[in-house]
Amino acid sequence: MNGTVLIQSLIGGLGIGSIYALVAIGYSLVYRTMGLANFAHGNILMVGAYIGTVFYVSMHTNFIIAIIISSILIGILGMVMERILRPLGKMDLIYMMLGTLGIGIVLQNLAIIIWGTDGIAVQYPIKNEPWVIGNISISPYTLVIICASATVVLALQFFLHKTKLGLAMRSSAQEKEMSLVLGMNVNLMNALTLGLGSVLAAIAGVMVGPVFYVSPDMSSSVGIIGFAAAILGGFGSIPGAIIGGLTFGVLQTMVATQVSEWSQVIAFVIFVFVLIIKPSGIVGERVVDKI
Amino acid sequence: MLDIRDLDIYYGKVHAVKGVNLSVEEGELVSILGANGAGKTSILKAICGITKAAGGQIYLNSKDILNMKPHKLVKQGLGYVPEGRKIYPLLTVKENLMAGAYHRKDRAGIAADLERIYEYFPILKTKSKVLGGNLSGGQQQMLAIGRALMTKPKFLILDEPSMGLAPSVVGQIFQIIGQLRKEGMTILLVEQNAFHALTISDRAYVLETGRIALEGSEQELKNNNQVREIYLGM
Repeated sequence: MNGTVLIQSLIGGLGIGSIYALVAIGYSLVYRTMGLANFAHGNILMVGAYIGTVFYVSMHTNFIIAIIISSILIGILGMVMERILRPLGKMDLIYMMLGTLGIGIVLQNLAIIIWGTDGIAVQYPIKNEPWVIGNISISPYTLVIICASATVVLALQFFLHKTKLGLAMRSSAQEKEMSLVLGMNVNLMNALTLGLGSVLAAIAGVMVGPVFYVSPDMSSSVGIIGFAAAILGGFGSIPGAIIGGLTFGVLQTMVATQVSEWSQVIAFVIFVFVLIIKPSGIVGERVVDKI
Repeated sequence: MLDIRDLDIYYGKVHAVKGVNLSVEEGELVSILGANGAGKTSILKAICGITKAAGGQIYLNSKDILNMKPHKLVKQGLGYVPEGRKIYPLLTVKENLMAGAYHRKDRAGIAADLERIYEYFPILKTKSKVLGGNLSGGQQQMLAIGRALMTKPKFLILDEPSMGLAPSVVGQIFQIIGQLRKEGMTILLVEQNAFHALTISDRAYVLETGRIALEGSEQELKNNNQVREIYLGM
């Protein structure tokens, strides 16, 4: 691999890796707060991508407006999900996890009924002629994805660490009963967490639309890799999710430049290898022991 | 201020608290003494709404709070220091304290109370940026008390504040509890360390297998032969 290809695939990898990171953060947020692996997360991402695409492609709204509309609708969907899962959680965490699986299947099939199985091609929201610097050509949209994702992550960190509501969400994740006694509505905090995680998925889904096709398969392609990225970084950790997502993106892209058909396989072989050496993930020191 | 009538609590088929009557007047410090499993913590959890009672009434300021949602009780002036401290391990000391002020909107009051707690427990100020989980047991207990005070309670519940602490720290904790009482706080204290508890209490109840076995003033109980033998070891 020569230097040019290396740099080019590094940038491309960081682009798609940012998407995986956003998805992974959604998984980790929900896991940290509710001890729940949300198996509907990939499906939520796909539905979010479709909603954004409907507005952007069919109704010709501005791309950013499409992202915002999709985020709001998907955020509500996430909060509704908490209400559906709450009675299951009272019985057992396993039921709640199966519940997410069920919700995922329903969303998947609804999407197929409404939009069919064919993908929708989405045009780039900006003029995406590659910038050529020396021998390296960079897609401007990749840079847009990287910057937008970084902004979203910074905003999320600000919200979680500098606002009262963020503090209450982090508190409820750690000591449920105590948080109740301190006046925090823990159910609402769970709903907000699921909503927030879903919003991240929606943003990722709409943003990745122009790069991939928007199709029902997104739930598994982007969703599963986001899940793996969250585990690779350390399930429940936000910095871990970012590192895991970027690692997956870069690995995949680099392998793809050499042997394209092997890109997924090799990325996952490395994934398994890392977890054998460090089962808690790359930065997973403080694992929340809830399952 | 607090009035509990005929409280019954079951865990499955186990009748843990059997028709308990208990009251705390404004400005009083009342202790509940008793062995492990006597039902002390269950009563406190029922007051806080975390454990569901099967029957009875709990009045706080003549308001029935038995079926109130737990997250609404803090607005009734209820502060809670739970057994085992239950501090937030992954939040800093300051964040732990601020979590106590979650329901409050008076910024100036919150800042003043934070300073007051730092005066009670100077070590918390020194360690304000340290994660709660990295504190020693005694410091965590101070943090739990500080967090409860940040809710600006009128009525404070303390569950085994001396549990697992070094004797010197126990003395310090009880000194603070005594000081809070002098400042007019109404306090309900559950303790296994009966001697310490009685020394700072106005009155106490002795709980045995879910029933009130004895009640009386600090002096009456200290002079009671049964209490002396079983709880004070004299």
